[in-house]
Amino acid sequence: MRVLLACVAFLAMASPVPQSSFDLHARYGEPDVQRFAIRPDVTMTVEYGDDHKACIIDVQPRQAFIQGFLRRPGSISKETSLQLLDEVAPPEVRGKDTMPLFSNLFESSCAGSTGGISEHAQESLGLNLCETP
Amino acid sequence: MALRIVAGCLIAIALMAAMPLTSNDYYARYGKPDAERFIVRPDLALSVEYGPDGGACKMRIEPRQSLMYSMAIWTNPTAPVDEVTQVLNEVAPPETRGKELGPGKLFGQLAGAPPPTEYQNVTIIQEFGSSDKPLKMSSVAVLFKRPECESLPKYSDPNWLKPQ
Repeated sequence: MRVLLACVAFLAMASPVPQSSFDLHARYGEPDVQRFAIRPDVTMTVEYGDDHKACIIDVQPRQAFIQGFLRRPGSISKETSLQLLDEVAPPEVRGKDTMPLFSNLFESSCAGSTGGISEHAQESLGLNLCETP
Repeated sequence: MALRIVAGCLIAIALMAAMPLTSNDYYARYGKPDAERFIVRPDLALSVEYGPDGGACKMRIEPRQSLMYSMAIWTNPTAPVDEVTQVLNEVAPPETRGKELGPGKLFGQLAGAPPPTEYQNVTIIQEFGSSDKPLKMSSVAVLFKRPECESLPKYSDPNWLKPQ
């Protein structure tokens, strides 16, 4: 019995509290979402599918990943955002455009969005229509 | 047209298996991720934000939702308390939290919500998605007090509610 208790105590001490990426991977497997800093002030959050390939990519100005419920997004210039789109989902991956971005525009006060549809992807850009570059 | 692109701004959704990029491809191109989300129970996710040393600085345990869904619609499904507590004890076991220091103060806290609990090494915050009574817990946040986490916003000041 003492040996058993000693073994249990050893195992409890040997399995670290998962507080690093390595430990968390070991305990819970591959993450379904990861965020990378792709520019000093811009992050890319990727959600993977069951095949561990990217399904959704969200590029936005850097802000805390875990924060309070009131979010105040920053902004990226139109030119930079289109460059980043081509970087994270190159045109050859997206395939032929069937509905180009900016061929449509939805507006509500200062907020707006435009959507695009390609052969293999859909793109959506959130717009701030009031702020000047 | 003078347009500025705002957050949540650019979403590319692969509809077919044409996008070959995997986690390893992104590691190679951009280095280690600064945040990750793990599925820790069938319907429960653990989001982790790392500090500069690669150790966890903030965690949130909450019901699993697609990134797309949580970006498009602001919803806070109710979290199963028992399972959240189990996961909380896995990632921040009571014996590692240090001495309990008492209740903390949270900027913008809902009326009737319990205050954060301050420990020597962590702060634990129960979060509630709406003010509907009775309050229903939507997530639990764990903030680590390591020196490497000093650069991240604190929950106790208004910056907790603002972008970095």
